[in-house]
Amino acid sequence: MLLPIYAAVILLLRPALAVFADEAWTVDYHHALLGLPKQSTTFFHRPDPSSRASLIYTLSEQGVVGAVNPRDGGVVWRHLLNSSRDATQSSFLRAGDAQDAIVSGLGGQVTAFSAADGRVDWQHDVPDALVDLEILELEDGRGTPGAKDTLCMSAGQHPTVQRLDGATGVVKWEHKIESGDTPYQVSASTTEVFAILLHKTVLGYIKIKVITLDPVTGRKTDEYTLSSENELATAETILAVGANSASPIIAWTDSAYKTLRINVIGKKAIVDFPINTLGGRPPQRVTLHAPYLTTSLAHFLVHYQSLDSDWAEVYHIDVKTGRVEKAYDLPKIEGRSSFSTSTNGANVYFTRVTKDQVFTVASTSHGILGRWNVDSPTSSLTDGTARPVHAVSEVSVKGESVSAVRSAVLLSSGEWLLLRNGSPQWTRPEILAGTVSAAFALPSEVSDLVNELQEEAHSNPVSAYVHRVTRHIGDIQKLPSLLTALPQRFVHGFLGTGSDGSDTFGFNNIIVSATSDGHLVAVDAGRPSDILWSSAAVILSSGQVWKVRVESAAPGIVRVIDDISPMPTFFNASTGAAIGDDEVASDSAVPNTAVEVDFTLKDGQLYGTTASQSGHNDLWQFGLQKGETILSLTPRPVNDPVASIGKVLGDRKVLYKYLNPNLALLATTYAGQSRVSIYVLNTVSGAILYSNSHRNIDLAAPIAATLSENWFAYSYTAESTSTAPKGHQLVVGELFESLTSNDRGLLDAATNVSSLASSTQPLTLTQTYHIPESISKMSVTQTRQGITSRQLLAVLAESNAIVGIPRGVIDPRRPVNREPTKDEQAEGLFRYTPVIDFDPKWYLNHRREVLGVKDVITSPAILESTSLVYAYGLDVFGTRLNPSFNFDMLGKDFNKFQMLATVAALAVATFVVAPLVQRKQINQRWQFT
Amino acid sequence: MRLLFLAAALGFAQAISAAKLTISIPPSPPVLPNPATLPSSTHAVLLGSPGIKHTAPLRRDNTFVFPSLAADSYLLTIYSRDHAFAPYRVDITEAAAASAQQDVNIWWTYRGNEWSNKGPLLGSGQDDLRVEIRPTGMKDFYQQRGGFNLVGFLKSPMILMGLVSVVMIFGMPYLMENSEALLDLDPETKKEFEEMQKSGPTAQASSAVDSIQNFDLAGFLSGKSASSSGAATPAAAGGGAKKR
Repeated sequence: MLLPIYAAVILLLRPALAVFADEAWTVDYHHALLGLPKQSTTFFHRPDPSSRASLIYTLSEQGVVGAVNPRDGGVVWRHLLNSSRDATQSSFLRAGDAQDAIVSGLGGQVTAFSAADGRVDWQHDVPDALVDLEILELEDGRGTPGAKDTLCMSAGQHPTVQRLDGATGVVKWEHKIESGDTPYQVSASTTEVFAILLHKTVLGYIKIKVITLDPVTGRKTDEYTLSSENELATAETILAVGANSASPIIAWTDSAYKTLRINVIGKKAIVDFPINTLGGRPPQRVTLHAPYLTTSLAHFLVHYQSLDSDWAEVYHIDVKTGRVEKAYDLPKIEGRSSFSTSTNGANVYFTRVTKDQVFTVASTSHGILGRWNVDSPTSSLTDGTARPVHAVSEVSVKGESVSAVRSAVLLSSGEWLLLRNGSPQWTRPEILAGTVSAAFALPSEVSDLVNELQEEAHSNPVSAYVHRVTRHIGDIQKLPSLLTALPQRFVHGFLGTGSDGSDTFGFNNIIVSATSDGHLVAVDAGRPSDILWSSAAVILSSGQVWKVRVESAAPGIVRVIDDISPMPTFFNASTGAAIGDDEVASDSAVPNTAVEVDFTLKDGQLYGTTASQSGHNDLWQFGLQKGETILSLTPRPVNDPVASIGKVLGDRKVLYKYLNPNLALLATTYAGQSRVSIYVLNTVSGAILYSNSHRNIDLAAPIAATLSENWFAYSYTAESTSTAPKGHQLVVGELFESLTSNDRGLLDAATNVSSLASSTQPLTLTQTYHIPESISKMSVTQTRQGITSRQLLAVLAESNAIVGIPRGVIDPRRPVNREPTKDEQAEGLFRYTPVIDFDPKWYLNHRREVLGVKDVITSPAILESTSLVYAYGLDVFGTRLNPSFNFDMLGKDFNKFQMLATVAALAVATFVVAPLVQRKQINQRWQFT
Repeated sequence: MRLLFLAAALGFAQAISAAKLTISIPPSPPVLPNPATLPSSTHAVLLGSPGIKHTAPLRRDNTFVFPSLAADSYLLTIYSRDHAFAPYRVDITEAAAASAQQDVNIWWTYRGNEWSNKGPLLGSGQDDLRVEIRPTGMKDFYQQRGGFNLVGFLKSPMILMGLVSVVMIFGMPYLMENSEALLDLDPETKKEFEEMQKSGPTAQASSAVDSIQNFDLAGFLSGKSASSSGAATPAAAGGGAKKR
């Protein structure tokens, strides 16, 4: 009688392992990031030429092209162009004036997007790496009306310049550069196309060579070399090669930044300007800002940066004669400032953003047209912790004056900030897009109480009592403020409008992330919209990537292990302050055992070593076969509590789990073969507990694996064979001490077991499922005691999603080819099906798209039912999961109003019925039948 | 001009060596009345032999274009944020040794089945194939909470049983009193019924209930209960009977 009810309850519970509609956008948080925008690939552009509304377009360092609404900072659309993130690849993003198209170039691919919604127009693959990309603004009557053509230049064995049709992406003409010079840039004026090449002289210097091409046929019409004597040692001191301006220029300096040399492309003359340091230090960096429109004035700005100050000069070009002359100076200002160019019709405006002011000047005169103070007390720009790196601006002009200016400023802290007339409108934490490692840290306020309670538990009764009384006296002092806050708290709790900031459930963990550019960034899971703190932990040389791992060391403290410092460094998770090594209490609960075995991957080999006085001794080595290489090694998590050592079956018997803290899953592959081997190892003895081999595996597809408790899971993409289908597969295995219930096998009599002494082999059950798409990373939920059932978290890179697969669905004990028996039904097992379809209700991110997730980390909350989840990589996504429902907390489904109404109704009913009952009882006594 | 011709020839050569597949998403109400509403992240993936994977983003005209596909057997999957699509199998084979043409076939396929187990043919062509694929349904991400529903509450068997018993308790005495008018019961039957009720188990139960209800607390405390419980009980029972 009981069993069917039990089974029915389990079946009823199963669909509830999902995202609830009323929790969907409140419990979880998401930063849809683009990555750090680059100066050269970021601009304001109007997707619809007839409307005045513009969007900010960018192609970031992380290879994401996208559009951001300048009003609220929301992402309109975005695409991850390549996931390889090769820092050496140059990337390009161009938009034609008054065009509904954005053309991006990255790696060897040119893609045109619809500017409004991000749909792809066309794609074109260049033969080799892309060197430059430009929109050809000229109207020669041969281009398709409405869509402007694209010029692209590629490097490699046969450098070429191609003209692509703006509507279809078809190559109109191609010019091969046979001279053996290095292609550098492509540029266009209203009548000609220029290919700029770098010619290496015998002495190792560089000369700039310009080839003029006919824009209609692509044939060479002219060629000349600039007499840039011996001052160009590398291409790095070439400041800019203008494109599409009324009069494109080439500007370069000598390596000591003494002279600025400018050539108007098409003219052979070079104009020299000595660099005026204005009595300060020589510049360290010189950049050039010029408008990108053929219709605008041929004016440009040269920005000088010295160590401590910035200044700029504005130059005018006479288009007819090609004469360049300096118009005016912009004064030197201490501290970093950034310049940006904007156009309005033919007029050109330069906007300067300093740490406390925004100015706009016209290119024609130095008179300031608009000046605004940056008025934000909380911004990291004004408090001096961050400086502007670069900016893009849009000005709106009324008559002669500038009425408003919007600047999207990238700060050195990695925040992207929009200033509208100096007041911050929004910030985007783009720094988080470069996260390489992250860890949860319990905030110290919570851990303080835990520490105090532990102190009471572990001291003698008298001192514990004194401690407790003093603690309570301290608490009483907080009572008045607590009482005054009580009504508000009550109202909030009753209406469910918001939290009171306290974190009794441990949901507001701090997540500390390390980014590849050397920053540490902390986010509070309770207030995920803003960054808690951010600091530059290390100084990296350009192009260097920080190889770092962050882990939780003690409550409120994180440990950072990197390849720069030999010893780990410690940081306070709440404040970001560095902590000395000695202040960190050892958190390792592991007692010092006689033999400690470490296992490491070294030179592609897996070793187990023991530490002794004479150094490290190899205890075991994993014997790889010839041609076998290690793909990945997944150890069991250090913090992986297990509540029960066995599984209770439907008939109340127990199946004992094989629980070994020293488990690791090793995936290997064979050179030249599409074959993958999976081993489950005992990392102390090096014994292989389980192994399997799969053939016809797509090694280009991700192979994800995870290990928790006594079970493991891995996934791969397989090619079809005569027996196996083509597609993505998920294998789940579970280790048992024995497969007979109420029997512990060989371990039965033992009270203590050493992995080194005994060789107990677990019995493994596995099942394979066909899944609809490949899993790029796997993780398992964690709870405080491990009582709550677990969920397998799988990152789906193609769907931009993370799914939580309930453990019951992938239980390897699901009966195959038969219906489950009553006992199995009582356990919640149902018949094996070869296909698992990812139910959309399992998507933790529900309707959001979580792009570029590299890893998912989980952490227990104080409540047993809840596991905290944080995913990072490009986007940042976090949520709370209740794999077995929130059994220890009232959820949103608990209707407080209904409860009160029920109590009230019962009270009313009692008052109404009481006299009736009384009358009836009296009547009963006095009535005679 | 020569260059232009060369480029054209190059393009032509490419077209010969590889087949082109175009997949369009037509308006298919009620699931997808307007394909222009599909998000730009929608994309199609062709998975070939190990290591071969082609990705095509959704274009402005609601199509996915795979411009050059080598001969292989591919698994086609379309990923979209809000819509679900079925998997398909795409085969590209050399038509004949002499001609440089390629056959393109696209079938339905089923997960968890052998690769040779093909579904109905969706389209076939030579070198260039254009097929229409419709979404199979919308993705439903959200679980709705079972809220309080009065009708559903009243429909539950426990509540129904409770209601029936309430009706019996309150309705029966009324029914009995007015039975002559309502049921046209003759007085003899009624009397018989009443007798039966008096002597039946309910009567005894009610007398037990009465004894609890008329519990003499003062008597109990004054020590009557321990010694003279045997006497007290019939007295209470008798009192109960008398009252009735």
